[in-house]
Amino acid sequence: MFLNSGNTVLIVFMAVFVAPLIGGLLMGIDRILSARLQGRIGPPILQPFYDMMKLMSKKPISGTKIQIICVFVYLVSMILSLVLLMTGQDLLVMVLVLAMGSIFFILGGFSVKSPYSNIGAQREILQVLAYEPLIIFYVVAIYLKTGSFMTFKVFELKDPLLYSMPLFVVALIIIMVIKLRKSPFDLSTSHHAHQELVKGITTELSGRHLAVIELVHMYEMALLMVLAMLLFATNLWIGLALGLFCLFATIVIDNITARLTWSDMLRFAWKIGVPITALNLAVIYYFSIIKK
Amino acid sequence: MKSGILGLLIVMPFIIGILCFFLRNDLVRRFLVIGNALALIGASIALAMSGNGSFTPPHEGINWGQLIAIGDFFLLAVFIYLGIVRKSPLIIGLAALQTAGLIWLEFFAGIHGETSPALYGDYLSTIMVLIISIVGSITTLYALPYMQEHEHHIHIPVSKQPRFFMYLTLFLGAMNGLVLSNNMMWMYFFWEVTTLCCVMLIRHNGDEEAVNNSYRALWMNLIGGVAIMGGLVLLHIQHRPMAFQELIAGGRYEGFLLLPIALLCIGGFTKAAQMPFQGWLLGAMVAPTPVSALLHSSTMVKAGVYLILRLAPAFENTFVTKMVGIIGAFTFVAAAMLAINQSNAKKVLAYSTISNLGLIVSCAGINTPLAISAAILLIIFHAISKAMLFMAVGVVEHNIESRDIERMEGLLSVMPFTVFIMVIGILSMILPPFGAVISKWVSLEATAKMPVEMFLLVMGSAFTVLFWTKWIGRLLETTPGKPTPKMEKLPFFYVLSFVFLAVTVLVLSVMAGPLAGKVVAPAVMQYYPAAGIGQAQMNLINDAGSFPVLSIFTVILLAVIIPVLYLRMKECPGSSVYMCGENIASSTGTAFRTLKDSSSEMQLSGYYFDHFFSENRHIPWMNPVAVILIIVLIGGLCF
Repeated sequence: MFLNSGNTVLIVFMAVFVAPLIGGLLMGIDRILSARLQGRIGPPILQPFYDMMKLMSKKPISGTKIQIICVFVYLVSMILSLVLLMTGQDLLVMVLVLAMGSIFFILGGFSVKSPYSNIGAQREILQVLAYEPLIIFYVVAIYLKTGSFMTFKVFELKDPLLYSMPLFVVALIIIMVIKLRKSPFDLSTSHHAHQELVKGITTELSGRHLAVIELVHMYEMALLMVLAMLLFATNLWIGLALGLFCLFATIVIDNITARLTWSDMLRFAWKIGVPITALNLAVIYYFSIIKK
Repeated sequence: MKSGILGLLIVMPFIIGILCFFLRNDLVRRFLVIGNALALIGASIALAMSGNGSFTPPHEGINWGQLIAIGDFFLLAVFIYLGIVRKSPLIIGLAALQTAGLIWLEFFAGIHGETSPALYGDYLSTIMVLIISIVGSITTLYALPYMQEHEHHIHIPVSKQPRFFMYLTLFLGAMNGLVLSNNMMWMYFFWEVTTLCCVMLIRHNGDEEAVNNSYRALWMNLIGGVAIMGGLVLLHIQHRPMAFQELIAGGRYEGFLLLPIALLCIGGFTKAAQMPFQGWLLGAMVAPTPVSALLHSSTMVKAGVYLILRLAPAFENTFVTKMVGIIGAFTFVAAAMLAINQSNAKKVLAYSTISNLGLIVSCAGINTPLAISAAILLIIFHAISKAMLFMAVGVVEHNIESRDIERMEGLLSVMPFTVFIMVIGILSMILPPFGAVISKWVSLEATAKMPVEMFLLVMGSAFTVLFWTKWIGRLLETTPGKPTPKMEKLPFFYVLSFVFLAVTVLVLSVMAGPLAGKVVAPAVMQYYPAAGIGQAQMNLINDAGSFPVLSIFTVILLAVIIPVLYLRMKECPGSSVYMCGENIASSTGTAFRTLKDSSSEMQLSGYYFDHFFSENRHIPWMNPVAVILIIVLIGGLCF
């Protein structure tokens, strides 16, 4: 599936066209699971796609031109980071490109003088601030195991990374909850009706521009899955199962918790998430450097 | 190296500076400054073309060594005089200590008659000369219209511009001399000249705050001077060469032999405003903006990191390198953290500079070929971006009479061109594929094996993104449905500096691969067995990773251009923002219905996280920690 000389084109095709379909299906499953957890039947599994089609058919009304540009850059960065990840490129570059997308999304939110959009953007920066270190630690841990930042090196390992990086499963769940803006950290915008910020950072987007945001979520979902699969690269099916487990945990957390404040989020991510990953990193450092 | 080029780079700015002071005519000064800029740019490129080499001025005619010594005594006398005027025993004491050291070296120790070349230009020096001469000269050009507006704004009867431009051009000459010196006594002289210029430029406005801050800059930099003088005296006592090339080539040192090098590094910390010496750079923002643009980007602070980088091969794999790495990384994260709480644009820029210098110092401390490459790349890109940002803030300040980021709300619709430049400047600090981020990527990959530095770097990077993004957010905020703003009119030299720097940062970023392969790698290879960095076509590669610069650049460019074209074809109808349906039609478009059906204007402001990141909360522990780190650095070598 990953980089071998001949099939780069195929991988890029999969990253650009197949990944969002899978991401969309996962979002559909998320909707159904959440509904069942809340005692509802829930929408059909294809509901995210229906939503998008509906949005596409609407007349485009948008706040500012800058926001529209930002939304497109957000989409392109997300696709680009997925392509970088799946073609086995540098993981750290992937993280930087991913962050660039988030920054543009935030700038788009700021670019409209709107109370909801503005507060949503401020909170989105904090979401990024909360999960960014965790993702970079994840990348550094992989580097220490493979000796390279190139993703394809993960597939040359004999043992799956999970055995030496077990605590990063917890980190991945924390990353997913924050990155996918799930309760208790659905601060900047939310799919739920109980959002006090209306639609937060996306308040001023509508029609096809909002549809782009939905599309980004689909890619985002796929990207997080691939990121989780790296933990078990020797058998990608187990890797996928691991990713789905993390997602399932995220959905359960989403449904059993109520929203916290941004300061709670920062405290949680930095006082619990960071020490957990740091502990795991310390063990890897110990075995990889000091033992040598 | 040809004496002509060196004369243009080092001596000419001194002469032109003095001419600027005595020929008090606006037009003449204008020609002098422009001529100086052109000559410096030309000479620096000529130096780059001519390759590495050493140079000792001939002994016939002028005895340069004596001239330098006389200059040293003159400078120290000026510092002591300033101390007496201020009635500050601290300043007098620090200057007197250096004088004592100098007297001992000059009259009792007999340091003359050395055979090593006085000047030596290698790749690193050449890169520095290019930055100083090009970015620095652009800054002096920017200063031409700026100072006129400035004097108009603060209403002073007699123009102080002659003095101002004298110090400004002197500064460039001294910096060029500093980075080209091989003889450490020469380096020390130029070092003190930059201190003097810096202090004089900070106090330029002459108000109480300016004078106070200039004295703070003086004593902090004098501490650095004392450290360097101490290092020189120790070197002499240990019978070791007082020349960089010989010192580096002298092999590996340990224990007490490292002490002079550590002292020189502490000198570097003071100039580079590393914690706990950050105070003077923060205070320097009272000076007119071109001064800040110069101090923060191409001169002064870069002298500090240059010195540490220059010495790095001499302390490879030692205790010093470990401590330098940690001190830099600590400053990186601490300054980034403090920047979050600031709403004063210049203060944010100052903290950002301190933070970036910390990163450079930290890379010098990690001291692997890859890390040194990262440091050099950071120096280049930071200089360009920071100059651009200060210049933009200066222009904004003259127009809105404020440097408060909160006052810059929606500035895009008032000054689109300046704000565009400012946004490019900020984005070039935080977004791939801009050079600063490529450099940060290199530094992250270089630190991945050093747990402490890596941890601090990751945290610091997250903070950095936070405060920059907040700032751009304020600039872009616009009310939907407003007509497209018209370009503001700016003086020629503003536009020239802006466009030149923006194009340079863009071109250099795209060329990051070749830049690393052809410029940075040779600079590192001169002192290290490998470069750790290189180019593969247009990509930047190192042993552990690869940055596909060109492909990312192309994709992002398309992602911006396509929607821009799409929007041009189709005017999008503006809608009023969502305010729960309580909007009231008004000229501003942002009024809403509130209590008793009265109307209220919607107001937005940024987050500053007083509770988390305020200076009052963090400075009290950060400074002591930084002092302790420096004591550990010295103490670890003595015992």
